[in-house]
Amino acid sequence: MSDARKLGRSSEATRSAVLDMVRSSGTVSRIELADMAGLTPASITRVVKGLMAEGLVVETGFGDSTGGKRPSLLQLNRRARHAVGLSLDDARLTFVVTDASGDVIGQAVSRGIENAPPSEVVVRIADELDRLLIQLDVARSTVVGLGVSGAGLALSDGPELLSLTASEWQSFAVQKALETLTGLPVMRENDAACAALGQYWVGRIPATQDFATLYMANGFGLGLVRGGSFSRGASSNVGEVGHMVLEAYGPACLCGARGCLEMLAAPRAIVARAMEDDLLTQDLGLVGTEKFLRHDFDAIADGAARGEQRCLPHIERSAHYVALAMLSVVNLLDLDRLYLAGPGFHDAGAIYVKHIRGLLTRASRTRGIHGVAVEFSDPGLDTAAIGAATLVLQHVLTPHARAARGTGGG
Amino acid sequence: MSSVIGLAIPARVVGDHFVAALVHALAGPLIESGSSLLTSVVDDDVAEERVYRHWAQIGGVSGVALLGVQQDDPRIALLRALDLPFAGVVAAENFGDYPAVVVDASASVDALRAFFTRHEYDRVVYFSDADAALTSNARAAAIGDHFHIARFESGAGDVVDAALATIADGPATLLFDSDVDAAAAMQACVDRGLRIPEDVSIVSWTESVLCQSTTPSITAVNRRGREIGAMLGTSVLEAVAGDRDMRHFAPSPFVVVRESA
Repeated sequence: MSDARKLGRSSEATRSAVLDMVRSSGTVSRIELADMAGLTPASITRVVKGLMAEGLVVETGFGDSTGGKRPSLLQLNRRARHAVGLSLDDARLTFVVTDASGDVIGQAVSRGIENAPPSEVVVRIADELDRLLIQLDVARSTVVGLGVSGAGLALSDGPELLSLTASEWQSFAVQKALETLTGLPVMRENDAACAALGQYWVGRIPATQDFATLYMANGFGLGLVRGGSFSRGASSNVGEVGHMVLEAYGPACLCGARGCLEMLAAPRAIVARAMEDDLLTQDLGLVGTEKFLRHDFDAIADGAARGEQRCLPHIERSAHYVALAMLSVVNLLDLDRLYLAGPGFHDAGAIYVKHIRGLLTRASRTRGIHGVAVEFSDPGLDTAAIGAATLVLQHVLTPHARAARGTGGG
Repeated sequence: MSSVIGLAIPARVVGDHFVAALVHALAGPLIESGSSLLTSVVDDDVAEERVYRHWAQIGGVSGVALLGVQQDDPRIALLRALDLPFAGVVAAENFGDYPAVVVDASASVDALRAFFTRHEYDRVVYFSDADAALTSNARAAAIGDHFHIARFESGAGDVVDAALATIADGPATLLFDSDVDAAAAMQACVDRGLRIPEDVSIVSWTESVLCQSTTPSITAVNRRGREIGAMLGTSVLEAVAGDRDMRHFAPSPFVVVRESA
């Protein structure tokens, strides 16, 4: 164990760090814990007693004797606590329920936001959440909170910023409304940050490894994990990669600049270009309205993945711009690992991976020193929802980790 | 509130990309019809039975989707007794009198054999995870003695060791149940200076974005997980609507030829 795991002053931090050690160890004895934490056996015994009284840690048998009485082993009581993650997306709402260790025990997928006003959607979320907990036989008292990924940010990104639906979401206090309706603590974070956190927690990534997750839904976001926690920036808005300028004289964007990644490579831009071809529009059944944005984009991406020659150039053009943006990101931050996540990569993700890899191999400044791994995010399409649940687990169960997270993901 | 279709997923297949694609597609027709999909991860058969009993007791789950239905599957009688409409994915030889998506396991074996024959591959070794019985029972039967079979216990490193041992015995084409295993074994071969596909050919029985995005990309069998998932969704909705005898036949699998074989 590194020094980063040595404990801080407050008893809250001690409790939280010991719990995290139990979680990441699987099973562990009190003596081993004392060793890891740099505490006296008496102090550890006291902390463990508190955790057992809360039902968070249980004894699970005996370890090998080192001469005297065999030490009893401790482990996380996984089903003592649960967390819910919700990914808010145009096409689907995905709820994920995890146990205290972050393992998924069930999920629900329902109709997306589409064009519904936020006041309606939050009521539906609260109802569906109630129902899901009953169906999974999870006692409400064991749920530590609801993490929400997406919501508003992704919808307010693109050219539809001024549409009624989008601006309603932008000014709507989702977190507060859901707290009132569900009676649970609610945390909200952008989808890219959630996807990155989900990757970190589930993907067994050591805390020393920095990486970024590029998330693509209707727009783009970049989640950046450094030293095991994500970078937030001055206003929690790190990773607005969709507004990285790639063409100085490109199309005007509502953000005020021109030639932003979003205007060149996001689903909305791809669909608009594809619809200039009447025959293709007809063959793929493209609709062109905001409500059918995901449907239209998926049809084009699926065509490209199958090698359909009229679809391929549209996705390749988008992938080319995404690769340019990632080249700058990698050069700026000296990253050696990049994950792709989100529904935008569902069908044609491989084309994006190829373009990004190709460009990084040819042009990254550090190519002579280290390569850059470009991969699909492990839990696939649910990364953001799992990350949102993880956010809550970390916040409630191991709050010390928010300050300086010193342990790996498992 | 909208109606709910339930699906129990065995914990051992949670990370399987074929199942993930199937489940993602299954939600499609449900959402379109105004329903939603509920999934519950179960550790074993006992837990799965408990889940169905719970759903029947609390109400609100209007139908159930079943994966990997076997001959005389006890779940059929249970769901009938609980009065829960259902539809399942079933191998052709196990098919019974209930709504189902019928999958011909031998078709993917035939597609692969045709591929191997066409390209004159001699020694094909099939690596099958001893625990992953969801679809592989029917497949193992269909494989018969067409390929050599190397079973391994699931666990990190085991499949890679088994693959390397196979290559040490002479040139071979390695065929894997799982895309993740195929990619791991391929990486191990590359690390040892072997050329793909000149020295070793690699084929995955599971098609996924992973197969598309590795370098070199991996030749894989598209078992039509998406289509099967969407059909299963439609099938359950039909069962809920009262049509208890509808069957759909899964489209034929095909080999997606890429760089690794």
